[in-house]
Amino acid sequence: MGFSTSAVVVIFTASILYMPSMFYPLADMSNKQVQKAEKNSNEQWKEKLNTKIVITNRDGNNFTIFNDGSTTIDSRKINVIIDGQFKSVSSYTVSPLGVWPPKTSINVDIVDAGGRIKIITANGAADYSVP
Amino acid sequence: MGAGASATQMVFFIASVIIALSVVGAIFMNVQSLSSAVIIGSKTMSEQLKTDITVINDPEIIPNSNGIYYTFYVKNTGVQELGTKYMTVIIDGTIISENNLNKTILEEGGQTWLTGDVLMINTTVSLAAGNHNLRVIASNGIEDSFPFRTT
Repeated sequence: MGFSTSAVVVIFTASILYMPSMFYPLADMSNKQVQKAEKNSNEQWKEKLNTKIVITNRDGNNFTIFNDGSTTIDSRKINVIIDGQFKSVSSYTVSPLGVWPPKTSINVDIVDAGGRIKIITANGAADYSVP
Repeated sequence: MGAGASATQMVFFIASVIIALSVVGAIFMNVQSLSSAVIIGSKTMSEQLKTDITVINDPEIIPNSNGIYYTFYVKNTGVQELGTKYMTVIIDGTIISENNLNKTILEEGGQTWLTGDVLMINTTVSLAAGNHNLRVIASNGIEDSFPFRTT
């Protein structure tokens, strides 16, 4: 009887030591994955909240857009909607292309700029222009 | 007595070891399924945290093809690539069935909706003139709402 008890205690002790050692690394890895995603999400929100663009000038087909936020924007990733219709990148030219620092402007030349224009940045911040 | 007692002890020993191993096996199975659930749960959660979608239409003018379908543009503004298959579109509280949706990824094409890509959704629906509300829900549950007006 005593020997049986000892055997059971050994089996339980071994399993109690083994199971957490198997579970902990996976739980830790999962936790780190979520923490990383949370950090990513917070950064995204911070960027979104700090992004603001303003269409400061409209001269025919040429638009001047001012980065009025505190985030650097990628001017290659803007989208243009004219009178509700999405326009492909071949319908407009952006200069300068690429890095668009805060408190600077870019020029957008739009082929057949119609009535209402909406310019959208990569993270969804937008501004409108009506003639 | 001696032989009988030994046999009894051996039976007890074997039985207790078998019972202990069964109990440990059952607990082990539970720990394994718990581990799998933790991994899947954290993967889903991290995907949700990295997902963000934005309806970028002009709420004043929604493209309308002779009253047959309305076109909505949804941009992937997160850092997670998404599939377009299991998306849900709800207009004024009514789910638009998959048969009435035509989804195209603009510029890039394909089925994978990458960061920065715009998804065009042609929605065959009849809308009266006035105010409406669109909800687009990605396959992982992240959504965006968009109030708009039709004339």
